Amino acid sequence: MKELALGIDVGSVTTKVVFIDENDEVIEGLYLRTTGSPIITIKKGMTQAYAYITKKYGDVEVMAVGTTGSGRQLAGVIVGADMVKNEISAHAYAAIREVPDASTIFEMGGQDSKIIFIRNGAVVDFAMNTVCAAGTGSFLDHQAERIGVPIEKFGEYALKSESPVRIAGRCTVFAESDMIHKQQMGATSEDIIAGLSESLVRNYLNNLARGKELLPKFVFQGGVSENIGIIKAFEQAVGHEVIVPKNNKIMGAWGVAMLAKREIEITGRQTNFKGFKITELKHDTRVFYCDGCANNCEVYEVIENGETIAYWGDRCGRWSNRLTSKVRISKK
Amino acid sequence: MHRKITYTFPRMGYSYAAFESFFKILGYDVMVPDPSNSKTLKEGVSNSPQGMCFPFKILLGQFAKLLKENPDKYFKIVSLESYGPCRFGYYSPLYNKILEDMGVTNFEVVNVEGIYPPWYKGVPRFIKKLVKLVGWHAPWAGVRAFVIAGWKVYAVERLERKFYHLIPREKVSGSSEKAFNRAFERIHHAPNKVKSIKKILNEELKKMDQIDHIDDVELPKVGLVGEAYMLMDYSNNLEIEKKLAYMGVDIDRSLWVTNWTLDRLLKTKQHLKHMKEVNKGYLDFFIGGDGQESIMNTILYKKKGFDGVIQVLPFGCLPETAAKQILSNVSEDYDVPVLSLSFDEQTGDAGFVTRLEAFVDMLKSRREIKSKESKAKKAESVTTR
Ligand code: SF4
Ligand code: SF4
Repeated sequence: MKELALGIDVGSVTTKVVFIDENDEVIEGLYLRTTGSPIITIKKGMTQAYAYITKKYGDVEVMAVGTTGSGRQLAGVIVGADMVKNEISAHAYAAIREVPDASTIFEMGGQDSKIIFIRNGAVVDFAMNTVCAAGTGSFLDHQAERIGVPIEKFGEYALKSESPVRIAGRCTVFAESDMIHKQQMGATSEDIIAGLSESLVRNYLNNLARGKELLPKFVFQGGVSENIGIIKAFEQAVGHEVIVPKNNKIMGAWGVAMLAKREIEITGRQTNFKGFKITELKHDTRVFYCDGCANNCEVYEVIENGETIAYWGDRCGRWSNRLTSKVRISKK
Repeated sequence: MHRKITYTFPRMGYSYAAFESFFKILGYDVMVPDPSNSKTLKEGVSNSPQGMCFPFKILLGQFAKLLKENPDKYFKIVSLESYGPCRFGYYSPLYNKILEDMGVTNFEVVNVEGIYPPWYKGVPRFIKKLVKLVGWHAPWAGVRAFVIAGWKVYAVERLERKFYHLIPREKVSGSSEKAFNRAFERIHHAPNKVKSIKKILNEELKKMDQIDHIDDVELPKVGLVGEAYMLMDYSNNLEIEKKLAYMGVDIDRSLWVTNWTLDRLLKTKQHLKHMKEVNKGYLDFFIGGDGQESIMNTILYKKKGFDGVIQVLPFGCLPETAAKQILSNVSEDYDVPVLSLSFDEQTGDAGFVTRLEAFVDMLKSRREIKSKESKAKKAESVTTR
């Protein structure tokens, strides 16, 4: 029976599901838009992946599961994770495996972006942007729509440009109005798109890398790293080659799958994975304000087939402590 | 019309227990505002000028809730404002103005400023303010209230430090938290005698020591610096200390009520001189708030062998924002990782915890590299000998 490890990265816009084999190679990686609830997307991804790998390998056994991304906690209780890891560490782990002597990692996803600094194979600094949309995939999507060029073609267009227009890019609002202005002045779509790419990169570096030393090798990953225009803009900005590794869009999920696998190997524990049957269970989430005291905590509740399997957000443990016994049973 | 006065004051971490006692001992009614929750934050933020720093908005929301819920009481809001060019000096006039605009009138703000140097002018002025605040008392009653409140502050701090020390070492997760909560409640409601407070403190410390835990572990050490109020109030800094401790980190907070007041009220001169020396080349003049302290303490933490420093930065705080820029230089020059975390009403748990976890992961891997390097060096020196 084929032994596999599973990694799930739940972001706000996309969900990534990855299965790796005994050599840490990705045998199935899915990049899905999170439509509706993340739980539905996770299940959809697992069903799809399961169909694919059982067809290819016959019976499989999942020996480790890791989750990451902003929805890592939720994903963790739904599938039964062995490791729930923050996305910085997960991304860095996968990048270092691919490019062992990497020094700077640029990551641009749908809704956030980060920069990670590596020295001697270890993270030494990082910065994350979760507030400002300038410098993320959503911003690009939005502008693609406005210009009327499909996002997949963005890169091509950018490469065709001969003199990119300079677009003020401190913030999305200014970038947008400036772009409209340039459009009205008669700039071509190619030049505008190239200008946008440059402004996006400038913005990203200004926000996240200010005052930090940018050293090669550079690695660029995340959903936006598909875009040749942005890659080129990065190379221009740093004056050096920028490597886009294989599996560039699913690095977080890949990283956490490897981390979970390593954790299980080191500790020799049994996996917490609840099995592929979870795709058939019914899950609900609920948010409520506890009125137990003046803190009025916002408490999250996850319900599986009518039974609560997790609470979080309660400061005093009033809710989550009720569960300890049940959690232990489900871990058996 | 003469109404009975109820005192209230900014709630800050666990220290409220002591300040509450101070007024009670003097025979006054006192009410502590509730900690922040989404409703008070919303109220505070929507009624404050946008440019005000976050702590002001927090406190405004907390006070507004208290005053509105008790329309039949008349409050004296005690505001302990310090000198300096930051916005701290505007707090009380703004409370007055904004609360009145909100239609809340059952209050007055009493501003107890810090003691300005030189002390022989500052101390009498401070006493005058105190008298204005609590009225004339037999001097010994005032002194007694002061001493007992001081003891409570000290006791709570000792317990808190023990608590954060034990969390990453406990064998049964949550056992130190239970012990701490009980201990805190006992101190909170302790009889107003120094002897009883001391006794309870010793008993509880001993009990906490008996919690099943492992003492000889090497944990990554993180120092916490930043703006005093946010740093000391767990309800607004999202319990950063507890969270880090549960992640397996030894934490140390640079500002506590005791050292903060002592440094500012009594040793102002030496304190400023010390800061000047340590901060030479970075920031050797006063910029208000605790900006200078943040830089000094970061350097001192590094010298004491800490692995990293986290700066707690309330959104809109001028001194800390200035310090943040300087800290990135300090971080580079001294090779100490510094994570600046900005707090506002939108700071959710999610992104916050991600940053903390990633920072802790990073400190751990830096540790591994360092120990590998030093081992390699040792091996090298052996072979070359
Ligand atoms: S969960 Fe606990 S701390 Fe939060 S409101 Fe309820 S009782 Fe209070
Ligand atoms: S130190 Fe910062 S947060 Fe405090 S009053 Fe001054 S500006 Fe506001």
